Amino acid sequence: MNRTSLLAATALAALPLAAAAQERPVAIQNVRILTLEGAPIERGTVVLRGGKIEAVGREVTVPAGARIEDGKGGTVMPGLVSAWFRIEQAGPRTQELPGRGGRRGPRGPMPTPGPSATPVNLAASKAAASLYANQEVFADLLGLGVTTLGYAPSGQGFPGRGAVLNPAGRTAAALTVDDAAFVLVAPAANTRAKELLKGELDKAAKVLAARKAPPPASQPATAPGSQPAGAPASQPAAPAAPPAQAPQGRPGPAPAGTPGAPQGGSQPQPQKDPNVEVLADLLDGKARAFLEVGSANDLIHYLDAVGSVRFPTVVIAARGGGSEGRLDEVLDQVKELKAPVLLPTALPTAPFTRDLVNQARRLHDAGIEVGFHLGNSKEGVRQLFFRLMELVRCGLPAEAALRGVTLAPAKMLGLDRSLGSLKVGKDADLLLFSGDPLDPASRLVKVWHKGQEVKKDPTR
Amino acid sequence: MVNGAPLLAAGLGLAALVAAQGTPAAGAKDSPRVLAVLAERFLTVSGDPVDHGVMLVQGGKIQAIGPRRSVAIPAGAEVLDLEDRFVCPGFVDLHHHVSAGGGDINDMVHPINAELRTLDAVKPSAAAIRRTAAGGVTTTCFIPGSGTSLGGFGVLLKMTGGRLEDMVIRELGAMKVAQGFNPERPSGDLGATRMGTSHLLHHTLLQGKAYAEAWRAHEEGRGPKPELRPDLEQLRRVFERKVPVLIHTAGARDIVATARMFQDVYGLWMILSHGCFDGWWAATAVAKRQTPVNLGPRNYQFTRDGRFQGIPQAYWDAGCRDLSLNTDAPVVAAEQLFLQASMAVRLGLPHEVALRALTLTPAKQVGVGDRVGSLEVGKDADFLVTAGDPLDPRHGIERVYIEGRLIHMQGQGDVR
Amino acid sequence: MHARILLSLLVLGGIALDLPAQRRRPPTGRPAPAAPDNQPAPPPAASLDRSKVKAWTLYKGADLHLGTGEVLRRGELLVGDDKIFAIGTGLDLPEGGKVIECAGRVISPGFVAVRALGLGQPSGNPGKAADGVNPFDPTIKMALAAGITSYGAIFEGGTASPDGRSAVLKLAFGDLKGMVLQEDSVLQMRVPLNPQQWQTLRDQVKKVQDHKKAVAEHAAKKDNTPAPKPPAGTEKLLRVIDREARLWIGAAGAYDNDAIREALEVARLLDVGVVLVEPLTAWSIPDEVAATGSMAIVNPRQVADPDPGRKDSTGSNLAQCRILSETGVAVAVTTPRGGFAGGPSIGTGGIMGQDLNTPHIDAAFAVRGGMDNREALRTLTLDAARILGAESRIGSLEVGKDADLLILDGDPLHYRTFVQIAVVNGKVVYEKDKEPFYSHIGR
Repeated sequence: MNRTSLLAATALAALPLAAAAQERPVAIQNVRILTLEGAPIERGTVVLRGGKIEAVGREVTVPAGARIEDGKGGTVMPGLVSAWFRIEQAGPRTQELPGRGGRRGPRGPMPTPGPSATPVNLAASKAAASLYANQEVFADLLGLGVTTLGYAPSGQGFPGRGAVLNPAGRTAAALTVDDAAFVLVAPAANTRAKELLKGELDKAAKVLAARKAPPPASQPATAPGSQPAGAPASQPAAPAAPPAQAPQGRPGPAPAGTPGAPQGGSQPQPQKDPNVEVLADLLDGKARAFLEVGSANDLIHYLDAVGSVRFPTVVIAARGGGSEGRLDEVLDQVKELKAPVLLPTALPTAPFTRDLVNQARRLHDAGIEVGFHLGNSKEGVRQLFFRLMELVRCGLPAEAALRGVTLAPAKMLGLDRSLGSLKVGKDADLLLFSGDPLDPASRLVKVWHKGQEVKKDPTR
Repeated sequence: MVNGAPLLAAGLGLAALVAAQGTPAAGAKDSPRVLAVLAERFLTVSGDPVDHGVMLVQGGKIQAIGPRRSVAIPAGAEVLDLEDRFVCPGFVDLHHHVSAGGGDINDMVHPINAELRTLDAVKPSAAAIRRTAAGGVTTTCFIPGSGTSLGGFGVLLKMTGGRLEDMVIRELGAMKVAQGFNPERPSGDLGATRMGTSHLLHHTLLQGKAYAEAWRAHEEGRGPKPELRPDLEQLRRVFERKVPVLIHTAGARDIVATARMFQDVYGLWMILSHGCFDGWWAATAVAKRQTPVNLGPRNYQFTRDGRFQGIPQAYWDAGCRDLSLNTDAPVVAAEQLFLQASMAVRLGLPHEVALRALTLTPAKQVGVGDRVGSLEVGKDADFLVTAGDPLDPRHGIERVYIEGRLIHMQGQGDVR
Repeated sequence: MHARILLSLLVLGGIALDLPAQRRRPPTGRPAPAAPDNQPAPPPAASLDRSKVKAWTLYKGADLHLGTGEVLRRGELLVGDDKIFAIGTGLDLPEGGKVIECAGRVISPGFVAVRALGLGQPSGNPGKAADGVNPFDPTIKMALAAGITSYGAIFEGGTASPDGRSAVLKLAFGDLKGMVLQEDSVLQMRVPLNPQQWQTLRDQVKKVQDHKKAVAEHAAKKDNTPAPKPPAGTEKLLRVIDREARLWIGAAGAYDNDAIREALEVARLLDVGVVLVEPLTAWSIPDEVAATGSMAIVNPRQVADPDPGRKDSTGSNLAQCRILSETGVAVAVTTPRGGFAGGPSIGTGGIMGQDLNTPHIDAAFAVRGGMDNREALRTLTLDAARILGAESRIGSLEVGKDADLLILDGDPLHYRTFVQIAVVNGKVVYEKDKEPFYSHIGR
């Protein structure tokens, strides 16, 4: 996180607020409310004002002058949060990227941190920098109820940082809420990728140690959280390792000036690698990682590569099944990471059979927080609730299925203070269904985003 | 080591032995002498095994078989004492492509080749024939490939090598038809689809039927003498039910379609060959029609729930009793026909059914059950000698006899 | 052999068997030449430490086919964690240990496929094999059902000099660390070589010999100067000559006696026993093979006719495994490949008996060619492990070796025998009743 993203966040917050402040409050009445924090509220009312939820409950006083929305016995739930969203880059690519070693990147048609066959450390680069705003998909997804997007870069190793997007934005700046929401870690089962992960994290550990060392001390200390080469992976994390529990909120910004601050003394500072600095933030618990794994195999090779190094992590399961193992086959390792897991919604089949495996239920039953991929296109998102129904039919509690597309991904993005459930003070992102969202007969009726009713995806 | 092979001088090559015409071997066609074979167990296939038995062979035929106390060995007989060995009938492979020494089985110009026959392609000196015999396979139906819808006529052979005339059991052994995939002609000809290949076959079968009926009418004095049609002459034998149709067909859909066409519509003598992939799903329909099935080279289907489903066992369980096994050599090596039965047993087929599926059943299916396929009086003395269960790959085939003549001894000759 | 085992039982009574004593038996047929490559390396018994064992398992009541050619009737096998600690009868089970009753069953070492495709080995070039293996590959379970517990993954090689990459992998399903036994213990080359390639090889060997001399002289001086480095490009050759890697030699064309003799010439030049990969006619010159201390990978079902144009041409022989083995040449069996055959992979194409779903059938064909049934098990176990240079860890049930074993419902080489349970590194990794493949077949 840095100042740019803070500014962006502030700017974004300011814009709709300014517009919303002039608007009348809205009271959605006669609805079943799935707050997703506590029991559903029957025949309740939700009041929206200034882009926020002002009141939720059975007995709510409707403010004078509020516009009344009759829910007609339908159901409201929080807006959908897509924590893992990728789109093809489109349009001109003229954004500049930070190059290695703090130098300015090349100008003009540029190397984006796109998919790379070779593992790289470009952790300081930002997916948002190459975002092309003029695409219909944002409005399409918003119309289907996706009110927040986590936008991920592509590539192997540390290909860059992901962004939080506001799908209502029409320009890159308006789309981007936070351009440094997470650091993508994309391991792979090969020596180059594994050595890159280990090598870059070792460097980052040294940087972190230097940052934490008292100014007069100049001898290099072994960084906490890093292990000497060859240390067995089964060793418990070093006592000084960063907190393994993902923080329940957005990680705070790094102390101003930390990365580049001179540490006193007259010795020339070695040139800093911004990519390594970002990884040092990660080790320090000041940023979160999205760990993209295709399979159980990727995960165990990742653990083999990094040893006992841990940092706040969200596990992104890029695929549900396949011939390299599912995450429910490595429950112990996932539990040990203390990380929530984002899964595809499709039920994978067990190898060689037609037996469907409810991986989500298995992870949920093991006490692991589970969220779901929503899909990168409107076609994908239209399938979402049918897929969730299937998961529920196969044993996943309905509440867990709905939290898995709202509160859980909001937490993964560190946005659960303002998103993911219907709670007073949170953003007024909510969906009105004609019935229970998991009932195939019910229909998405309306979408509110930051208190504004948006043009719903037309279904006839 | 086994004693009692006086004609086999130590170290004498088998080829030389076969060529030696001086003194005809006892038991062989051209010898008046009786060969008395003593062994621990005769797997007769037609009945219970005969333990501690004797089998008398004269003029290439089995004269007697039974326990030693009940069968007297005539004076002057040559005794072959096989001690603790097992004797079983020579194997019969109805789906065999290598008696031309490789290739020479697909004439691809026309989709329908009712005038062709593999008789013209047999190479009696081919090592492949000696190798087939070394695997205990004494009779094969050497058929054309599946490159065309009607590949021609296969010849029914004894794997003796030597003179072609001595090898042939029946010149028109079986008409070879191929269904699905292989004979499809995707390059623009008619027959690119199942519709097209079926049409071509119907077209030909209708002509053949009419031709055969015209001849029968003529022969019965009911009609004029038809004009000779060389392209339909062989097919006529099929409609006279003198020759079976052996049909390459696999998969449930094609199997049912095939049985419908050849059995239900034309009422022909048919043998359903391959029957693999998901063909066993149609096993009940096949069992109901009592269609002869000749399974292989695929002997299992890996099902969609992860099972190695034995195909012969699935047909057996569905009630198909007329069941034989093949190699489709060279797909499975001709000399490994026995292994097709071993693997069928491994995957659940009863052992005695599997042994019958190598011997008597295929012999009956192709219409030579009165000559080969079991150790019975009056039948050809085609047999092999093993140290035990002939389906156990560990038991090498030590000797192979065809019509009383030693054709192969393990470790000797050029096929080792 | 029976008498010897009986004697062992009588003498040893309740204590663990003295297995090395059993192994020291005269080879069948003529005495083997005294090449060091002909002797299997002993298991590292010194590494066993009873005090560190967390879990004990005692397998009781099975006939133990040890993989060395011996069988111990109704024996016991004590496994501590991932190693074999004792074999015998009346063994003591340490407190808290588990007993697995195997009465009526047969226990064999896990089969070693000298060469296999798939089964979790890396695809493409991952760098180190250990960084690319996939212990979740579903075909691993299928291979375990076939009795395979380890195999050679041979990635590259087959040029005119020792080269390539390889790994000996274990089928430790789900266990990354447990999967890799060793890397690059096999290097490959092929014959024939042209005169120029021969010259290059001779030059390289000379360089290696000079280098070794220099190293010896340096060591003798005992000064602190750095040891000489091997000349560039000879590192792999050096590993073969130092017996750190087995050299497998294949043939680019027909592997007839001309090609075999050329491969043996390489063995003599390098002064090491090599591994002939699927020689066709080695059975006709077994003494020449044995004299170099070489070994062979044989597909017993391979057939070829003699070349009618050559008087000395022989063609294949089903008895090749027996003849080589009787002459003192260690043999591993492999699966038919080429044409329609399945090759060294676990197939699902529908023809059982022709691929790695039935490795025991390959060994059964060695018996068909006259090899003794018990000796033939070595072609899938100890001798296969030797050909991979991994015999100190796998290939037999011996104290100190890895606990890789199969619980079978019959003789290991019988065609109806199924693996009931497969154990790798002491862990049960396959149970017939719990996997879909063969659970429908009752036995």
